[in-house]
Amino acid sequence: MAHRRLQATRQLNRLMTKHYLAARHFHPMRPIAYVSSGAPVEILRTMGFLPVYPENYTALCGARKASLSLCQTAEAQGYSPDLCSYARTHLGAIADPSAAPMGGLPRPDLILCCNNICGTILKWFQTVSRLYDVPLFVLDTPYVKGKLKEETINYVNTQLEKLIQALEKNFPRRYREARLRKVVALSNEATALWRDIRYLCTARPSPLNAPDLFVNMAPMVVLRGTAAAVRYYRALKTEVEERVARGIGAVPVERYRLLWDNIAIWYELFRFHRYFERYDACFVVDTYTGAWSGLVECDDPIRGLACTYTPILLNIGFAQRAERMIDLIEAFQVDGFVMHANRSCKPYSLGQYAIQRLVSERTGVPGLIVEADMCDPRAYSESQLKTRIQAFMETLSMRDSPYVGPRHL
Amino acid sequence: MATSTAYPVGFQCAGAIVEQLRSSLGAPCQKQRTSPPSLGYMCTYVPEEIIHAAGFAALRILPGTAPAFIADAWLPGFCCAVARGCLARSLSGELDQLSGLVFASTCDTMQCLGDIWGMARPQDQIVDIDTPTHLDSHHVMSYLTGELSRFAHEVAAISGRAISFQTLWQSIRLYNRKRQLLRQLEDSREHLNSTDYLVVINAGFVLPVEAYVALLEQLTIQLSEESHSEVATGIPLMISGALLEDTTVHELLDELGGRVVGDDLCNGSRYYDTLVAESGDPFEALAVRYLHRAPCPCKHAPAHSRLERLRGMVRCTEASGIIFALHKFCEPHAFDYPYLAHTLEEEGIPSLLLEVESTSSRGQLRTRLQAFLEILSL
Amino acid sequence: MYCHGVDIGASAVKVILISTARGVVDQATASSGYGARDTARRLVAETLSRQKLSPADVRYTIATGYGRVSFAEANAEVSEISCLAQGARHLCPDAHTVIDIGGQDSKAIRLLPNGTVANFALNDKCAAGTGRFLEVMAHILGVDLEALSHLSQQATSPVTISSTCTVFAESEVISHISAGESREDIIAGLHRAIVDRVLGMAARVGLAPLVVLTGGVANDDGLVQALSSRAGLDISVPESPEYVCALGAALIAAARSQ
Repeated sequence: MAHRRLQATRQLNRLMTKHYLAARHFHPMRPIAYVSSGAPVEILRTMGFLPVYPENYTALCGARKASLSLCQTAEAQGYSPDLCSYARTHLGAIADPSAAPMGGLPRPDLILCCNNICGTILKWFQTVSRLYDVPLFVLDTPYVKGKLKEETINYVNTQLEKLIQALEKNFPRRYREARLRKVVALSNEATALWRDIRYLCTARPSPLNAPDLFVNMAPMVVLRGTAAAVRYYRALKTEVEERVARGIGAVPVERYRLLWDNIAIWYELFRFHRYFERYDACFVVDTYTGAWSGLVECDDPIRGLACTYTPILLNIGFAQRAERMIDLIEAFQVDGFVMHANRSCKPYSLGQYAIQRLVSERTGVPGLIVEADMCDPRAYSESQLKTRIQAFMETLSMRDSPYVGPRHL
Repeated sequence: MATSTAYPVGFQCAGAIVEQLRSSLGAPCQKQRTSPPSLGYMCTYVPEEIIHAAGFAALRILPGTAPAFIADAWLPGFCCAVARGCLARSLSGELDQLSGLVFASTCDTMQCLGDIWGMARPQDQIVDIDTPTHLDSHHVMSYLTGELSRFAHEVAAISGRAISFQTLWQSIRLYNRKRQLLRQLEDSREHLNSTDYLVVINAGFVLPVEAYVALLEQLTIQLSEESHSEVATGIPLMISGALLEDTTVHELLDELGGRVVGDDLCNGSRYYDTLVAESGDPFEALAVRYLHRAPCPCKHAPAHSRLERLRGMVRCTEASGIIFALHKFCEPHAFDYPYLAHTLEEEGIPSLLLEVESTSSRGQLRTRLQAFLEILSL
Repeated sequence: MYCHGVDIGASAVKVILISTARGVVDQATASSGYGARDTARRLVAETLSRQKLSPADVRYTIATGYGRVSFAEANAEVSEISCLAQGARHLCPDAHTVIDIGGQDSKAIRLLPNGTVANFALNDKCAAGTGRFLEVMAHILGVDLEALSHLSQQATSPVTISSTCTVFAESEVISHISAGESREDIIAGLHRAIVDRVLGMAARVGLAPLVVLTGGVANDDGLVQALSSRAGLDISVPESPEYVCALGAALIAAARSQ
């Protein structure tokens, strides 16, 4: 049965196309900033910079199956094949724009990097800033194990203030707190809408499957803080609510509700999750698209940004991450979970064995770890994955009715 | 274990000291030693001086030879052998005598390891210290100073011994002495083969600092008194990388006619190149050293600082080339490598990339090193 | 009423015929070769003719293993994981962890108290840790596979094989031979290399008693001992360990035929 296409997808495509065109069209009136996905972009939007997201771009390269040759280009320059595949894809696109979708990204005027997602993004962006000879601004968000300390918040807060000063000094852009409040309010509105949309999937059957979540999370990242994102998510929410009201599910038959952990396998996004439809399974929730679900306190918006952006999923301890997963399993009534052991992303993947065991023990729900990569198709082995998926789905089906063999044999 | 070079009669004392240092690296010695009580750490950004001031010995955990499969239950394959090896040692009981572990914020793998360690070994006392990514005082002085002070309180609470400014200065001076001696030792590089030199440095990470300083004092005196003899000959090379405690590469160079004249290693010059200023507030002094010491690539250092340092070292030591000995899955070093290698190549400094892992066979490393030396000798 | 379990592995095909009244009545195995499907058909026919039965007497057939998808004669295909779990649990009611070392892959399965699968892991990306590894090495050492067992038990000082890749481990073995190490010590080292690899995988899913070892390689006592001492646990090896997966398939067939 064909994958049920959301009506909103057409609007989404237009929105994303506009986003990429704007970067070329509005420059040089508005300086272009490369931004990491977890950075408090609200500051840049407040000051009129045009944010562009290399991570979103490289995911797109993966989805369009252009990432392999770009990775190989980077590797030919001496970058190890064990490095993050987003970084290799981007470095390949910079070296050879003719082979890159949309001819690559426009040149940046500055780069903003927040290491709340990983340390690799710092190295990646250091490399890019060297290649383009543009300033790199770094926001250092210390890892949070347990309680978020006051000293940590103050440190991040101070850095944000200094960032604003540095941006004003180096670019003809002004910061106004009132404007930041407005941008933060828009961010919050989009965040709340996206959270609501995801929670609509607690319905049986779930109106959305993982690919829908991954595709629709894009504006949450690249258009956060804009009115366009709010409009989009309002429309999407309406459509998803309607599906729930009419009992329309994302998969033909929903017998097993699954949770997905880690970044998507971009170059097999639809085929991979559709394979599970054979087993009447739907991915009703995931840990990745929920990463943008924290609201920012508006009273002191800079401090609010520090408090929200520091303890994101990839910047908190594994025991806490396991708790979040357990909460999702309970809220969404999940029967099994699948963890993508993504070679490219150590912060997301290194703790998976520990988290899998902890979560299974606590919830009694079985988990499967599948090895692949978010953007490098060479790490994806279809027959091996199918073997594991089949075995896992059989495990789920036999849980319902364990076969007790004829004892006399 | 490398066989030691046969030193001429006048060198007996130096040779004997080197052997003593080599044997201190043997696992049985480390396992049995419970006095002084020790805190283990893995990254050199951990402030040893504070650990020492609290009454502990600071013991650097090196990967060792415990079977790595034990760690497989906790770490997937795409993780460096350093992290895997250290965890394997702990899980096999080799580190049970430690009073605790200290984890600093450095690379992603170490960050994950610190987290996993707490889950795999709930019986271990773990202390975290957030060592900032920024290396400019503009951003971090007050935060870092505060973090160092908080760390001191936490460590003192474990040892039950409060840290006064006086005891902290004593520890700082002692570690400064250690670093000073290691810098002095560089002048005697040609009196030791590359393997022995590395052994001497490695021993400093596992011996209590007092004992090590005493041995180094003796060693540097002995070596400088023999200024007319040169033991080590060979094509001069620099070696750059993260932790390279395994002596295989150095042994092969000694065998093949290469000689390490300078290094940019975590267990090398990056550890001892900068001293702590011995005045003012001790935590501020420690913070200043943190910001100015040769940076690990996991930190945000000024754009060309690593290149400039390497270039300077090559010129100073008159090295013919550089060996980048990088661990498989080590991202910070692997991102810097192409730019460093290509720029240096353009400046007439050839380099070799060696990817090391616990499963590297000696034969494979030998082939590459031999080929590089042959190219350099043309 | 009869059922077939057909395990079409990359190296060998194993067939089990069971009767719901009497249990296992026949079994057959042969090299997979190029036409594994034809081999499977032949073995199935053999078991029937020996028992003087006809295909109509067989109520249900389940195919498993690498070549299961192409065996059209089966009523259904089930993964090896599920089959191994069933077979091991049937033979060893206290089985908790099942380790299978096959011709070209190895697996670890942890069972719940009720016999269903809690967690599993597979190594099918490389030959290290599989029967193939031993085959390659036996060839270099000039010994039969069957001899590996008693030779390794005579080792005095096992060598260390550090390469995780079979091809590079070969070079290491050759270096050890030229260095004059004894065959016994080399084989013991190879056993240890496989054991470490397999135990790493088992540790991920949970290694706890009772540990059951299945697959053709379990016939190698030297390896079983190495596994037991490295894991610090007793290892239970069922009779005809290479048939456990096919047995599990036959048991599932019997359940489904009712």
